[in-house]
Amino acid sequence: MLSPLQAQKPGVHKATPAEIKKEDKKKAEQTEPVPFYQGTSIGVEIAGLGSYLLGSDILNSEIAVQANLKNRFLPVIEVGYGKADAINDGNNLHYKTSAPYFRIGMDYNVFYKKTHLPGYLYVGLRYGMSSFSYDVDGPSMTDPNYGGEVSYPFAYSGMKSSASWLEGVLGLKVKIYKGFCMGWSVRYKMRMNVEGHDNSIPWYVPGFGKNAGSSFNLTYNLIYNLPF
Amino acid sequence: MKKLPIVLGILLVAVVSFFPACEVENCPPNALAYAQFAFVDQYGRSVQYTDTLTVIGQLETADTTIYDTLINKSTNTSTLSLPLSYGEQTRFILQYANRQRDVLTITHRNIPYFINLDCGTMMFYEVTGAETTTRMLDSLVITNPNIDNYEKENFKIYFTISDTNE
Repeated sequence: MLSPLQAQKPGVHKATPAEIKKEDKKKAEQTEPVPFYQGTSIGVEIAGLGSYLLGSDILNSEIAVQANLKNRFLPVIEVGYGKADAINDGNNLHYKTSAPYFRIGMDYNVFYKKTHLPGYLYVGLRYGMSSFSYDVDGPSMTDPNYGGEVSYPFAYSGMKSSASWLEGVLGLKVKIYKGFCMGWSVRYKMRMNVEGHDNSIPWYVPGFGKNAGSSFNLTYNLIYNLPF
Repeated sequence: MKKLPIVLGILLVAVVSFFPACEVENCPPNALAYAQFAFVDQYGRSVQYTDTLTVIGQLETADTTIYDTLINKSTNTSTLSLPLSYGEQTRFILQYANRQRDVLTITHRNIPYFINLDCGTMMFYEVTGAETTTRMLDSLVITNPNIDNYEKENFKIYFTISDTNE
């Protein structure tokens, strides 16, 4: 059993020196001005490529160009390409699309003070958009009632659509060798708008994924810090 | 710290391979879009037809007329949920207990609809016209012309109910 006195004592003693140390640090940082522009990096997303090579119907890959401002703010532009050509074996429906997509946003380096670490953790936001067209076709639809006399062919191609969405990013970037880095991120995507048609809504949206209110996505990037 | 990238790489592979397994497909609960009818009296209040009621659907194609019994001798009916045909016009024959009949003629535009790759396709409808005979019922009113899988009321069927009979 600890008496309340014993418990309080160490706390009281520690409190004052800790505060002084913090102030010292602040002063030291202020004397060393952090350069505004700290370089640009270029990254390639390869997890999407990997899953396509492993047999996925969906191919998704992107290139990200990111600037480093004060080692703290990291504005980024991502340009990617999404492709889906899938058939559901259960109902023989076929969906096909391929289009580029764009995202713009910024990351915030949570470890901006800890420059001695080999990597950093960041949080970020993205606004994504894509303009694409899709084809959907399947077996004819036969009336389940009225003797199945009438059936409708089901094939709609060249359906134009556009989509926009927001992404919240949590990620990690680690140096591996000289200017090369690796990055992982988890992305939570929120659909803002996906344009539909009279006879269909897009099933897969390039850059967003399967059409739903929200989606989760993991990325794996190989990054090169450009020498300028 | 040097092992960190390797550890995280393994972790990533593990998570990615696990992810497709926990995908949930949200297919609509109703695989068929039915026309929804509500029985009301002259004041718009919901009423029940207590006696037996049979509903037969009728589709006329170029060479034949097809009959499909949709509801067989149901009692205490206050709403009807009936499938339209894939033709341009569907008739519903309401057979009352007293052997009287009313025929509802619904003209509609059929809209084949792709929900998604996993849930498949469905036929939606847009009602373009509705007529009825008035042997037992008074009138037929379209309240919502779009028939989809949301189970909203599409038609009101008005009956005149005299207070003395009730």
